[in-house]
Amino acid sequence: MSEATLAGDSLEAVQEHIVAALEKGEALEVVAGGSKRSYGRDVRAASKQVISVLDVSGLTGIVDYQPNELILVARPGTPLAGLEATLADQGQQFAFEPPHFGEAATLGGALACNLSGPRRFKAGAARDHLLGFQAVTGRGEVVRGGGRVVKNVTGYDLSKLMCGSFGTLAVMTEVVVKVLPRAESERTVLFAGLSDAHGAARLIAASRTPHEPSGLAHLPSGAVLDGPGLEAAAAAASPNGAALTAMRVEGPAASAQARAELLVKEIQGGGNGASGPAHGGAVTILEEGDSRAFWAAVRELTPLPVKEGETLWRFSVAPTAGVALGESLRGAGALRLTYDWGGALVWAVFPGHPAGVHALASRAGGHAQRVRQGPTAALKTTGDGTGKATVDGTETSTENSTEDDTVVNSAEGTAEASKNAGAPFTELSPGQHRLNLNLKLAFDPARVLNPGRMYADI
Amino acid sequence: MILPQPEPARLAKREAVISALLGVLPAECVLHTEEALTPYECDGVPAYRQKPMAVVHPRDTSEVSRAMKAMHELEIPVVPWGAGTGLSGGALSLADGVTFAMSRMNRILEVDLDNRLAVVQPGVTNLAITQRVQHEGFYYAPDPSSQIACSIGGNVAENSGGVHCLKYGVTTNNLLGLEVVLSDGEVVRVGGRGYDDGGFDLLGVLTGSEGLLAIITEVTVRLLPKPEVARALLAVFDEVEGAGQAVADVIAAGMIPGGMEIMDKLAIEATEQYAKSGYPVGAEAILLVELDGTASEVEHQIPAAEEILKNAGATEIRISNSEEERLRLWAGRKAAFPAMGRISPDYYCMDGTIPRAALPKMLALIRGLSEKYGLRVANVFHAGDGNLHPLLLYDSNVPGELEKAEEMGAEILKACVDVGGVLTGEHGVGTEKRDLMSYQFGENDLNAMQRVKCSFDDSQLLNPGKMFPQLHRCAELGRMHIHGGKIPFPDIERF
Repeated sequence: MSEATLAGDSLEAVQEHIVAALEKGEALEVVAGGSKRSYGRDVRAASKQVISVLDVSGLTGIVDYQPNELILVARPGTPLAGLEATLADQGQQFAFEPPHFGEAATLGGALACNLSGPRRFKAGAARDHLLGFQAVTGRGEVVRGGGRVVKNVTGYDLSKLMCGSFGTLAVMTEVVVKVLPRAESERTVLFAGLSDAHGAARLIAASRTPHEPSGLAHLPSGAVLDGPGLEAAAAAASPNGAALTAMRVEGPAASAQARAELLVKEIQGGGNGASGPAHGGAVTILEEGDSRAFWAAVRELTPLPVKEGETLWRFSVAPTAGVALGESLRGAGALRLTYDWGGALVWAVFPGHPAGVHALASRAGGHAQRVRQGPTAALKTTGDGTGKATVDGTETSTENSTEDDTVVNSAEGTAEASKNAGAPFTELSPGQHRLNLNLKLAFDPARVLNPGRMYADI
Repeated sequence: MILPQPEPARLAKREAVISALLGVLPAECVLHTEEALTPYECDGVPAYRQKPMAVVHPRDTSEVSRAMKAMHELEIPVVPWGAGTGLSGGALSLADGVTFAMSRMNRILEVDLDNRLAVVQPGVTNLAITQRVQHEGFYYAPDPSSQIACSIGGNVAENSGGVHCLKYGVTTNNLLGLEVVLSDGEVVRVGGRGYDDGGFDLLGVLTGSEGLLAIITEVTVRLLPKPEVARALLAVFDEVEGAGQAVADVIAAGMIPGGMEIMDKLAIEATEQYAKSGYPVGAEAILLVELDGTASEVEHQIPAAEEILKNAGATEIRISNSEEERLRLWAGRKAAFPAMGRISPDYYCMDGTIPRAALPKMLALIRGLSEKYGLRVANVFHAGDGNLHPLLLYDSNVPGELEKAEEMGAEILKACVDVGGVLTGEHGVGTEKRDLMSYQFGENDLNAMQRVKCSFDDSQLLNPGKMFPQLHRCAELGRMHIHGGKIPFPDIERF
């Protein structure tokens, strides 16, 4: 099969390539920086169709930036790092704090994956900041949605469909993003040595205060804290690499410091008794620079390295469900974990492709996504603890969830487990699946764009 | 405005419709006498009136589903109705349809403060959610001015805003999950109790879909800890443009106030007559700025904001020093809409959003149109986010005045689009702005939206006649639709 790389560096070029693919009955894998290319299913490995790469990394540049209107209009292939520097010059930022996962990360990639950083539970997700867009659909039509103002209810909110659709509906060619002032300063309270359960309980207690925390994470013991700016955090976890329970407050320096101290006082003292955080845990307050470096690390998951042959998974659940899910993931073979968003976001690294993670996610009331796999991960399998995951058969499988060519070598591996082992995203309920499929066909009826990236038939 | 025209074939099914509804719901939940239907002949836009064939009051999701299914079988359109407070004719009943009033589904099902959420039925009022949790120090952030009466289901359908949107977002930014009934009666849940959902953002596209995609039967809202402190500043200006500049300066200084509201001379006069809150009658404009958050941050911001307002030309600045004073500063603004009744028999409220920088241009244009049409205009703006509410004063008893107001309103909204803004910031398209949609969107854009409509409701029975200038049949839009889980590409690789 011929697999060309096509340059989609203008609206016209993107449209031309999509129309050509439609005519030839071929498909396209849409790539910009490629930093999130292993998020979801490998489009080309999974299909026998001819799939060319549509490279939109040339679709760059700021079209319009009006700090006073709080909007940035840019082409989606523009690298995130440069955009963030431009915003910082004006004292502004993307409040959703998008993870980069690599130097080549682009704005469009972060939006397409709806990837949001630690501030998500306070400031909203990527999807809350995309105000408008221009895109070419899988029909080859140029479509605009939303607008260039922050308050707009005119027609359906199509911007929401662009975020988190992983390029399976349309290829964005211009985006309007809400930008917000960056806080003057910040502080981070670190409690060291708490168990996951106690750490999580403190995060919940902090989320209930009026001190407006904007980061609430728990790094179980063994988190990797080396890198510039992380010395203070590493010292807080020393000597044995203790767990760190972290709470960020942002604002004018005096306000941030005062609120950090209030959090220490209220939360260490037990805070909300009902939540029952244990007393104790050595306390450190990180100053501005150390705090910024710490949360950049949490955002980029550097405390949670993914080694060769391993896979990285992301679980979204209710905040109070996080720790119990984490425990069950350990039971299913997870090697390392971190908790963000006050417990509502669990990151886990597994050796190879674990079976049963989707059942565990469903049982916890959330869903799982495979975000990254090491270069050889696709060839490896894992056999530990997978039987547990499918005992109660909570996983709802649909006829189209048969997956890849992954083999699960679990001693107790059931047919259910092996059937779902390679699925990157937890299957949807039948009703949701029907609506997702209808939307896919509405925008991309010939399945030209990133076929299979999210779900086998999307 | 030409109201949606009833189809005789549907009107002829009236008896069958009522008997089908009585077949799935108890008699007390089905209204069909002329008298009982009267409260449902118009929503918050009294200029548009139409009585439905029947109104149902389902008490739970399964009743909604059964009634919807029955209407699907009879091919009868359905209009979901929350509290009827909407300002775009979005809940206008259809003469050949049935209105589903959700007010009996008014229970708060669960409050979970550790997860900072509440699960509520759609008929619960916006304010009731805050009232339930405020003693614990929490609240539900979006606060449309009708919050005492409007329902959360209606808020979701219209993606309602309020005065605190710039900082806390609108409805769509404050939801976690929904349960909905599709037009064939199927019940689907989207989102949940975590922050991110799997699959496409169905929650996002359902929010603000104006009852055209599904009937909302349950809502999971995010709750926020109540800000420790809120303080208001009222600044008086010699010209509206100065107030507009002050807003830009506050934002440029890196502040995102909880609310920023501008009122012009006529609006000040009217509210002062009505609410007597001590606003400076005769001033060209006032700007209200509310700073809220942690005590340490607000104390830091107050002097900075005062300085900015002074530099922007404020001739007088009042700052609240107590909760009582803060409420008094807001009292006039909160009464602005009802106050119009004192100075005019009728008013028509516009809702465009513009880039803030275009405010002087838009004000000049509105003044010009006011002269051209001979109608007075009072201006109230959510200045922080550029959302304008010009109130066009008219008298519906004077023949032709309503039409004049409508025509003038359309000119204002088109001008909003011309300066880079949009037709509606928080009230929705509904019946009222339907015909202007093609001014803001091209054919491809509208077709894409209609394909979304068809993805959820290919029978097009949910709230037809709203939002789109012309509703294409789904088949005309050239798409395939999936029924009963059948897969459209039987030959593709099932990987």
